[in-house]
Amino acid sequence: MSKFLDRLRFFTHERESFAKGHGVVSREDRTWEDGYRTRWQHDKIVRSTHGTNCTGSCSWKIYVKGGIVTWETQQTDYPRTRPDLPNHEPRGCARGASYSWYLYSANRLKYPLMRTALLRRWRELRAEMDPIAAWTRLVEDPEARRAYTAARGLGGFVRASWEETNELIAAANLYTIKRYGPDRVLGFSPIPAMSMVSYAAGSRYLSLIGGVCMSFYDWYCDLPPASPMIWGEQTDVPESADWYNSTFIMMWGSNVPQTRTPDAHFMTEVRYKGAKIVSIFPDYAEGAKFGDIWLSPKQGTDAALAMAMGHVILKEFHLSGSSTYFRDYVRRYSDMPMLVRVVRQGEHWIPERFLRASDLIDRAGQDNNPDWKTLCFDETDGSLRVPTGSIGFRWGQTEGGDQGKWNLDERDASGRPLNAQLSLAGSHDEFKDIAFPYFGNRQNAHFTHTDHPDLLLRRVPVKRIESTSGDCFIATVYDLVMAQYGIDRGFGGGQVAASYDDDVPYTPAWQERITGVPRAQVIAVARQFADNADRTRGKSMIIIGAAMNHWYHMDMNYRGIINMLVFCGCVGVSGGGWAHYVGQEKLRPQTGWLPLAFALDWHRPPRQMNSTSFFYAHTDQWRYEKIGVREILSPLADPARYSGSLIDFNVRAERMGWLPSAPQLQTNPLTVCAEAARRGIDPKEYAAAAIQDGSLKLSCNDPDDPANWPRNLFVWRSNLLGSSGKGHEYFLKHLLGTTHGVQGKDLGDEGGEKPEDVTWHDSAPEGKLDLLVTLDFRMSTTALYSDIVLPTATWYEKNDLNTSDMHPFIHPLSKAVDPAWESRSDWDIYKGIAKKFSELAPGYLGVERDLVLQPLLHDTPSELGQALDVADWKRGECAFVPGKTAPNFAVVERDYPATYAKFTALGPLMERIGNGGKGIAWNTEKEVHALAELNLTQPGNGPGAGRPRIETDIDATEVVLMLAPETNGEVAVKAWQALSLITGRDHTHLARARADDKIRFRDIVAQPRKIVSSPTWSGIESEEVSYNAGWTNVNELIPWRTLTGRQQIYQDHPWMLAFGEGFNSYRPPIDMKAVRPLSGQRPNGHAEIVLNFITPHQKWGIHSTYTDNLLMLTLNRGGPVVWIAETDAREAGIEDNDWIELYNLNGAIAARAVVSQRVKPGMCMMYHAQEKIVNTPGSEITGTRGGIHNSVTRTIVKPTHMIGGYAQQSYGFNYYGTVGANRDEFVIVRKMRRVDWLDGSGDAHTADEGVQS
Amino acid sequence: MKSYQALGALLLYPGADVLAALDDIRFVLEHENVVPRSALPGVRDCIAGLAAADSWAACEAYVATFDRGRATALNLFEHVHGESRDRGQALVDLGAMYADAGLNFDARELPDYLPAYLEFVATQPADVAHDLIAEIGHILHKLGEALAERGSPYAYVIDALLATIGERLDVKPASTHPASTGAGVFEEVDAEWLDPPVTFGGCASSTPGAAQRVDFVRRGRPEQPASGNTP
Repeated sequence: MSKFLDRLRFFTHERESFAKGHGVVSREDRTWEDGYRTRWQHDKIVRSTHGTNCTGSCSWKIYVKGGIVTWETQQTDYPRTRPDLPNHEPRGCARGASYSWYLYSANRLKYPLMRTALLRRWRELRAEMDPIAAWTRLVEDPEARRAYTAARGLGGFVRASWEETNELIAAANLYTIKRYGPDRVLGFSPIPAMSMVSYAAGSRYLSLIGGVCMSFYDWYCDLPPASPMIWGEQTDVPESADWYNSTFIMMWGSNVPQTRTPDAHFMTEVRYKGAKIVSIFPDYAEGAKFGDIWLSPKQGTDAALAMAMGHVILKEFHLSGSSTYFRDYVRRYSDMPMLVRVVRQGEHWIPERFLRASDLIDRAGQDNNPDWKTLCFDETDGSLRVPTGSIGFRWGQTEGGDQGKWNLDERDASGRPLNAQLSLAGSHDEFKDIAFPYFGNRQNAHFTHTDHPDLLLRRVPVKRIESTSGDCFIATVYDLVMAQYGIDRGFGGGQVAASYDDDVPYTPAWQERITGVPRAQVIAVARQFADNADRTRGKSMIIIGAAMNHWYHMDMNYRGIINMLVFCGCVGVSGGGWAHYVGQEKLRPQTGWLPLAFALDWHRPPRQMNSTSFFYAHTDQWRYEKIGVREILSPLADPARYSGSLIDFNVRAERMGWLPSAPQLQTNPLTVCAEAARRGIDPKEYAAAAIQDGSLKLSCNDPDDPANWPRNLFVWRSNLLGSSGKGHEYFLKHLLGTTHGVQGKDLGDEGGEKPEDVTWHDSAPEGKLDLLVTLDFRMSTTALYSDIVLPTATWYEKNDLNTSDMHPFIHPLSKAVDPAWESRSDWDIYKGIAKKFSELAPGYLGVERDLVLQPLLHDTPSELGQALDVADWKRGECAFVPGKTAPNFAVVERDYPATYAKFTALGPLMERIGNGGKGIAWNTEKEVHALAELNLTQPGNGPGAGRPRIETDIDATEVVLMLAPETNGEVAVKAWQALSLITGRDHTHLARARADDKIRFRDIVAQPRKIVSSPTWSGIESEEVSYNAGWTNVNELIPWRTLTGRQQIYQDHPWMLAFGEGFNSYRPPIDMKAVRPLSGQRPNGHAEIVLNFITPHQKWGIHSTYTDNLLMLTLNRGGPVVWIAETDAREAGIEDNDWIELYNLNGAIAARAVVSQRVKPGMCMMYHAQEKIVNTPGSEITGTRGGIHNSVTRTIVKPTHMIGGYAQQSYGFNYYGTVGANRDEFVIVRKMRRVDWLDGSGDAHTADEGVQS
Repeated sequence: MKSYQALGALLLYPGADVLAALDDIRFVLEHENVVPRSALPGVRDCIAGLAAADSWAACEAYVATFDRGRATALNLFEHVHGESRDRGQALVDLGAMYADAGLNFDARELPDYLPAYLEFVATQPADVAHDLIAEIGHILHKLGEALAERGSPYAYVIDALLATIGERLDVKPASTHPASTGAGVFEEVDAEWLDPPVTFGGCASSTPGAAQRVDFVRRGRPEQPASGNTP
C-alpha cells in the first residue's frame, strides 16, 4: 500500500519547538495583547488647543475613547506656507502635551464650592427671606461678613449647588448695584484671545449690568507704553514665520526656545540660511546659546546698551550719510524732520513741544484742528510746510477740507510735493546749547552711576520764525536726536563724543561702566546690525523680552531699542522690526468680538478700567509708597508744579479725563440720574455742575471710604492672586481682609508725606470686597482665597476661538467631551448667572438710567484733548469741558430684568450705529441679517425677540466670525473702504481677493484658517509677505496713529518733558526702599545677602498653569525654587537645594535654592508664578505659608503713563495706562533655620516667634 | 452584598441624603456579615462621628480631604497612574468592565470613583466581589494610610474594606509631612516617578495568570505584591 494517504499534504503536526530549539511554540492565552492592540484605538479626534496665557496657540488632536480624553498629540494640518518658507508645525510643547492630565486630576475643581461660613449663614437667612433680603442682611451684619472674609485663604469650603451659587451671586450683584452702584461690580479676566468667547461671557454680563471690566495687559506689565508712544498702536508685531525672512536677529532678553517653544524653529532654521543671531541676556539663558555672540549686560541697564548702539548707528550711518536708505526712511516715516520749539527756561534753552500750525500767524492756512498739525521745512525750497498725516488731519475731515488727507504721501496740506528736511544745519540761523536731562548720575547702591552733570548742554542748529507768541526758535527732531545721543557733528560745544572711547553719555565707552559689556562688542554688534539693515533695506529684527518692560523705567529700554530699528528703517519691513511677544494678546477678529464682549449691541459705552491704577488704590499699596515724585522728576521740571504723591497724579489724570475710574463717583450713578430727573435736568449737565461745585465727588479722591470700595469681584480665566497680583500681601490685607505677610508700616505709622488730593484715613480698611467669585478648572491660589469657586469646563470641554500674534491662523477650542463632574463652560456659567439675575430683578431694579464716565479715548475724536499745555479744571486753570478737559459723560438705560434676554440675543445697535474699530466705522446690517439666518432668531415678544440668537458658545463664535473683517472678507473690504475715505488712498485691493471668504466655526474645526487682511492691523496676510507690523504704514502710506502721524521718537507732552522723557535716555533702576529697614533686624543665625529679584518665564509651566502639574514639576525640583549665583551663594553659606527665604517689607517667600553659574551675581531669579499650593513651607518671617513670587513686590505707578487726551497718549483698554512694574525690587536672601510645613494644628501662625516682628 | 455599597456610601459627600441613611448603612454592615466583626467598631465610630458632627464640619472635612489633593483622592487611578497617559485607557477599560457586567456607568463622576466601584462590587457574586476588592487592595492600603496619617476617621472605612479580604490597615493617626521626614521618602517618591522600562508580554494584573482587564497596577511593576502593606 502506498503511503500516499498517510502523508498530510496540507498540514504539518504542531511542533513544540522550531529554529533548532531556539523557538518554542506556546498555546497560552493571548488576550492580554488586546491591551496593546487597543491602546491607540480611539473613537474620535477633536481639534482643540490650550487657552493658557501663552503665545503658542497650537492646534492639538485630542483623542477620545469611551467618552474619556485619553491623550493628545500635535496637529499637523496647518495650511502650508509657501516655497522656501518652513511650515508652522509641529506646534506644541511638553506643557501642552501634559494637559489632558488636568481633566481628571485630583486638583480639578469638580463641584461649585462656597466658604462654609458664608453658605451656612446664607441658608439660614434664605429659609426666612428672599435672596436679596438675605444678602442684605448677611453683608450688612459686620460679624457675619467678617466670618467669611477673614477666613479667605484658610480653607473651609463646602459644596454648593449651582442654583444656590447663582442665586447668591445674582442677589449680591443686584444689592450692590442698588446700594452702591453698578460700577462696584467688577471682573478681571486676561488675554481674551486665548478663549475669546469665554472672556466675552463674563464681560458681556458685566457690561449689560453696568459692571466694570478690568484690563490685564498693563497690569501684567507686559504692555509696553513705548509702543503707543511711538506708533499709536499697542503691540503689533511680526508673526514668527517672519523671523525666517530676517538676516540679522537680536534676541534681546527674549528666551525664545524656552518661552516661544513652538515658534523657535523659525529662529533656528534661519541660522542655516546664514542669518546672524545676537543674544543679549544678563544670565546664560537657554536662548543665550543660540547667539553667534552673547552680550551679558547687568540686568536693568539695557537702555544704556541701546543708547550706545544708537550712538554708533547714528554716527556711522546717518552722520556720515552712508545710507541713503536710512535717510530716506526716517525722513518719510519718522518724526525726525518735524519741528520742535526751543524755548528758554531759567538759564537754559530746552526743547519744548512740536511746533503746530496754530503757532503760525495765519495758522498755516489750517482751519481744521490747527493745534494738532505739526510742521517741517521743505528741503527743496526751504519753505515751512504742513505735511499731511498728522493727527489734526485724521479728525474733522470735510469734503473740500481735510477729507482724504490723513496719509503719508509726500505732500503738504495744499497738495504740493514735499521733501521734508531732516537737519537745519546749513540753513540754521544760529546754534543753541540745549539742555538735556541726564539721569545716569543718580546713585543706587546696586548699580553703577557716572559723574556727569544733571544737564548735558549740547549744541543744536536752530532757526528763528515768527509765531503767534512772538519770535520763536525751532529745531528738527533729527538735530535734537543727534545731540541727545552725544554725536559730535563739528558744531563745537561740550558733552559730545568724537571717539567711541570718550567717556561721554552715550558712547560705547560710557556704557561699559554701567552695563559691563565691552565697548568693542557694542560697536561690532551695532555696526553689523545697521550694515545688514542698510544692505537688505531693513531686514534686521529685535525679538525683545518683556522682562525689560518690567523695570520702572521700562520705556527707556524699549524706546532705546525701537529707536535703533527706526534709525535703520526696519519697522514695517518683512524680516525686520520689533518683535515683542507676551501672552496671547492679539485678538485677531477684534472688531467682531468687541460687540459680543462688551454688549455694544445693546449699550454704549461699556465701563472699562485700567487695573494697575485700580489695584494700586484699592489694595492700598499707595498707603506704603516710599518713592517721592521729586525722585523721578527731570532736573528741568519745576517741583512746585509737580507736587504731591504718585496717587495724586493718578487722581488728576482721572479728573482730567485721561484715565478711567472705577468706581467712578462716590454717589451711586443710578441715584445721580434719579436726582437729575427729580430736578428736571439732563443727568450729564447735573453731574458736570455737581462735580465742579464739589457736591458730587469722584471716587478716586477717597479710595478707602466704604462708599468707594469695590464690592463684588469676578475672576475668570485668571489666577489673579497667585500669578499676577503684584503686591500680593497687600491684596490679602486690604482687598480681602485676611491673613497676610505685609511687614512694612504705612505712611501714617511712619510719619511719611501724605497725598495732597487723596483723603487719608488713619485706619486702613481690611476686606473691601463683599464677594469674590472665581471660575476655574483647578484649585488655583486665587480660588483658595475666593468666597465662591465655580468649576469651569477645561479647554477640551467647550467651544471657543483662539488666535495669537505668532501665527496668522484662527482656530478653535472644541468640545471633545462634556464638562466633567459638575463643571460648566464659562459661557454657560455667566448665562446662568444672568438668568437668575433677571429673575430676581423685578421689583428691586427695573429700567434704570446709569451715568457712565468715560475717559478721552484713543482712536476717537476725543483723543484731541488739550493740545498745547495741561490745564486742570480743579485748580481753576480751565473750564470743565466733558470730553476735553474732563471725562465724557453718557447716560445708559439698563433694563435690568431684561439682562438675560439681552445676553442671549444680538442687540439692535449693530444696525442702528454700525460696527468698527480703531477710528473707522462701517455699516453691518447685512451681517446681522446673515446671523439671524445662521443662528436663527429669538422667539416670543420679549426684549430679544426677533434678534439673532446667541444661546450657545458656538452661536457666540459665529457672531465674532461674521462681524469681523478678519474672518469675513466682505466686511474686510468694507473696512478698507472706510479707511480709504480717510486716507484718500484706495486700500481695498488688500482684501478684494478674499471678499467671498466667510470663515465659519465648523471651518476652523476642520482646519485652522488664515485670517483676512484688515485695517485693524498694520500688517497684511498675503502669499508674498509674512505678517509684519507697520507694513501698511510703509507700503500703503497709512499714518501711524500718533500726533505727527509718523513713528514718534520725540514725546512732547508736558508731563513727558517734566519727567525727563521727551527723548530717550538711560535711567537707572529706582530704589524701592524695601530692604534697608529689615536688614539685620530679624536674625536667624544665617548670613543675609541682598539681591535683585527677577521673575522670568519658565520652562515647566505657563505662569501658574502646569506648575501644579506633577509631570512638569518632576522635570524641575518639584516645588518653588529660586536661582542664585555661585558667588552669592558662597557668601551666604547657601548650598544647592537648601531651603532659603527671600523677604523685604512687602512680605516673604520660602523656596529651595538652585545654585548655578548661569545666574549673574547680584540677582536672583524666581520663575514666574510657582503656586504656593505646591510644596511650600511656612516663612520664618511672616509665619504664614511661604508666599508666591509677588509676595515681595509692591506695584508702583508712573505719571507718564497717566497722560491722556493727547493723540497716541490717550487711554485705550489694554492699550495705554499705568503698568505694574516690579523688577526694581531687592530682597534679603538667607538660609532658613527651620522648615515648618504648618501641617500641625491648622493654625497658620506657628513659625518662629523670635524671627517674626 | 449591600455592605460594599454601604461602605461606598460612607465615602460620599455627607449631604443630607447620606446623613439620613446612616442608620441603614450601619444596619447593613452589622447584619450582612461581609465586614468582619473586628473591623466594625471603627466603622461605627466613623458613622457616629458623621451623625454627631455638625453637618457643616463634616462637609468641610470631606471637601478638604477628598475634593483636593492627590494623596487622599477617591479616584483609584489617581494612585496608580496619576498624570500618566495610561490613566485615560484605564478609565475606558474600567467602564468596559462595568458594561460587560450589564451595568452602564451613568454619572458625572469618573468610573474609578471608589464609591462607584464599590457600588459595582456590591452587584457581583461574593467571590467576584472578593477578587475585585483584592485587585485594588494595594490602592486601599495607600489611601487608608494617607487618611490615617491625617487622622481622618474615613480611614476606618478603608480598613473595613481591607478586612473583607483579610487584610488590615495600621490605623495610627500621625501628622508628618512626607518631605520633612527622612531620606527614605525621597527614594519612595523617586521610585514612584521612575519611568519603568517598556516590557512586552505578560500582564500588569496583580493576579498572575488572569487576563488583564484593568490596569490597577502601574505597568512595568509586576513585582508589586498582590497583598500586604506597601513598604
